[in-house]
Amino acid sequence: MVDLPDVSAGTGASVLQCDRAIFTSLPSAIGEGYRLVAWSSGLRPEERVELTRRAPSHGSLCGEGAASRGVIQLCLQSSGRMVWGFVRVAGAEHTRRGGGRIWTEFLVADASEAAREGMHPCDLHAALAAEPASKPPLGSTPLARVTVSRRGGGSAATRDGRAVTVAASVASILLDGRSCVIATGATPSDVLDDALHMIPASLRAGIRACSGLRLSSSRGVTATLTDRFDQDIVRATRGQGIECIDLQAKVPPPGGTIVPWLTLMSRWWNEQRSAQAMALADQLSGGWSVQEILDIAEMSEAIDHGDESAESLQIYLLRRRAA
Amino acid sequence: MGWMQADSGDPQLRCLICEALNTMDVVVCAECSAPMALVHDSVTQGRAPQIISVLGDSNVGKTVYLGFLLDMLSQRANEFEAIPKGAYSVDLQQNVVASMTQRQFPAKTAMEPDRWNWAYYQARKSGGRRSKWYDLVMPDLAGESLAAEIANPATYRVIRSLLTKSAGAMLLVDAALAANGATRPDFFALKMMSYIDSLFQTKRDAKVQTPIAIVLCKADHCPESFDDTRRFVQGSLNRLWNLCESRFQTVEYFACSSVGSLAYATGADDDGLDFARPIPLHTSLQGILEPFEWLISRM
Repeated sequence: MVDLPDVSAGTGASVLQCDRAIFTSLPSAIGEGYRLVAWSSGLRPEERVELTRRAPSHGSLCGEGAASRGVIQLCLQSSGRMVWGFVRVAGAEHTRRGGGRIWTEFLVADASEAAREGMHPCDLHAALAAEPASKPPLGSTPLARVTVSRRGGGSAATRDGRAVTVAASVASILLDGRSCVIATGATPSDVLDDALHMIPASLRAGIRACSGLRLSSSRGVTATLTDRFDQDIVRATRGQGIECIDLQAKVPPPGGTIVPWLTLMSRWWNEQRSAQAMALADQLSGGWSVQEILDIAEMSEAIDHGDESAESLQIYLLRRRAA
Repeated sequence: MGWMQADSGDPQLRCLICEALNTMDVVVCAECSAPMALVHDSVTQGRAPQIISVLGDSNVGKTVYLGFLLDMLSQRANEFEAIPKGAYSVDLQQNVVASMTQRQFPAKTAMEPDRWNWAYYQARKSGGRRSKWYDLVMPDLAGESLAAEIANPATYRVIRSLLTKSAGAMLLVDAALAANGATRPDFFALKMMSYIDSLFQTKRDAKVQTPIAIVLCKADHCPESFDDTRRFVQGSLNRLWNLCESRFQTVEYFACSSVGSLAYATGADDDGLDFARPIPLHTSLQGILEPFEWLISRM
C-alpha cells in the first residue's frame, strides 16, 4: 500500500528563502526617478547594480491599466543567483510626465536552491502578497527576507483548447532556450504562467523569460512574451538572431525531447484536469532528469489507458524521492 | 576611421559608441543599443561625427531642452543650418514639439538604453562655402541611468563609452530648485563632473580639456540667473563652481528657459493623494542656442 497523502505532503514542505528589492520611481531627499528604493540586507552591491540595469522603467509594461502586470525570471550574471520580478502599475508617476508608475518587486534566491525547488512564479508572488506592507519611507530600514513555500495546485489561466496549445507551444520554446520574442495577444503574463505550470518543476529554474513587458536587450532574458509586434520590436530584433514568433498568426507545434510530457499536460488540461497536471509538474522538483520526466509521462499515459495502476506512479515518485 | 569601415570579407560594422562588432543588417547595436544608422550615416559622410552629450538629473528637462535645440537648429535659428541624418533623428524634436503643443511635458525617458532617442545632425553656421560642417550626435539619456552610472560606474557601459568619446557636453542643472535653496542639483552636478573628471584621469595639475557647458534650466523661475549666470552658480551651486574651477579648463555657464508660463492642475489620484500636475501653457525659448553655439566654437 502507498500512503498517497504522504506523497503530496512531501511536495508542500518546500521552502525558499529570498532577498527582496523594490525598484520604482519615488522622490526622496537625495534623488528622484527610477531606482532601487528598498532592499534586503542580503542583497549584494553588484546584484543591486545588475537589478537596476535589468529592471523595467517608465512605459515598459505592455499596458498601463490596473490589471497590467509583468513577470521576469532570470539568473543574475553578477552572482549567479536566481531572480523573479513582479511588475505592476502603482498609481501615477509623481512627475505626472505620461503614464503610470512602474513598480517592480524582486525576489532573489540562491540558484541551487531555486533549481532544487523549481518554484512557480505564482508561489513567489503569493508569498510577496502575504508580506506585511512596508512602512514608509521605503528604504529607511532593510526589507525583510521572504520565505516562499510551494502552494501546490493553483489554477490555470487557460480554459480553452487553443490557449492550451499556446501554453504547450510556449513551454516548448522556453525549454528550447532560444532567443525569441513571442507575441501572445492580450495577456502575455497569463501565457507565461500557464507555460511554466506545464513545465516540470525541476526544469523551471533554467528558464530566462519575461512577460507583459516591452522588448529590451537590457532585460537579460532569452524569451520575451509581449502583447503584439510593433516597429520597435522589428527594429530591435533585425540581424540580432532573435526569432519573432507571432502566436496570433500561427502556433508552432511543441518540439524537442519533452514533447511526450507536453502532450500529456495538454491532454489533461483539455480534459479539465489542469489541477492534476499542475500538481504532477510541481511534484517533479529536485533534479528530475528529462528521461525520468518522459518515463513519468509514459506511465501516466499508460494509467489513463488502463494499462497501469494509478498507484504505480505514486510508488515510482516515492521511490525516486527516497533515492 | 577604422571603426566605420566594413572589414573586407567580414561584413561587420563597429558601433560608433561602444565599438562592438555588429552585422551589417542590424538596426541597433547588440551591445549598447545605439542606432547603427549612426555608423551607416558616418560612412556616407566619410568623417567621424562629434558627440555632444546632454547630461542632467532626472526631471531637469534634458528631453525638452534637446528637443527644442534640435527644432531651433532645423528652423535655421541664428543663421544655423542643420540637416537631420535620418528620420530617427527627428523623432525627439517631433515628440517634444507635439507634446508641448498639447500643453504637456513629454513622457519620461525610459532607463533602458534601447529606448533612448538619438539625433544625428549635420550643422554649420551660415557663412558661405567656407563655414565648417559639424556632424553631431546627441543622445537623449535618462537621468536615472546617469544617476545609476555615476553612483556605480559600469552600470551602463554605454554612458561611459559615450562620455569618453564626447567632444563636448552640456550639463543641465535645475536652477529653480537651486534658487530655492535645494542642495540636490548642486550635489548631482558635483557627482557628474567628478565622474567626468575621473573618466579622463588627468594628472593632478592638468585640467580636463573637454568643453562643458553648464546650463541652468528653468531659469525663468530665477531671473537673476539670466542677469549674472556666473554669480548665480557661484552662490547657489557653489560645490559645482569650485570643482569646475579646480579641474576643468573649458567651462562656461548659461541660463535657459523653455516654458513661458506654467499652470498646475490639482486633484487626487487613485490612492487619494493630492497631486499637482504642471501644465506648460506656452513656450518662450530663451538661451537654448547659446550653450550649443559656445560648445561647437570650442570643439
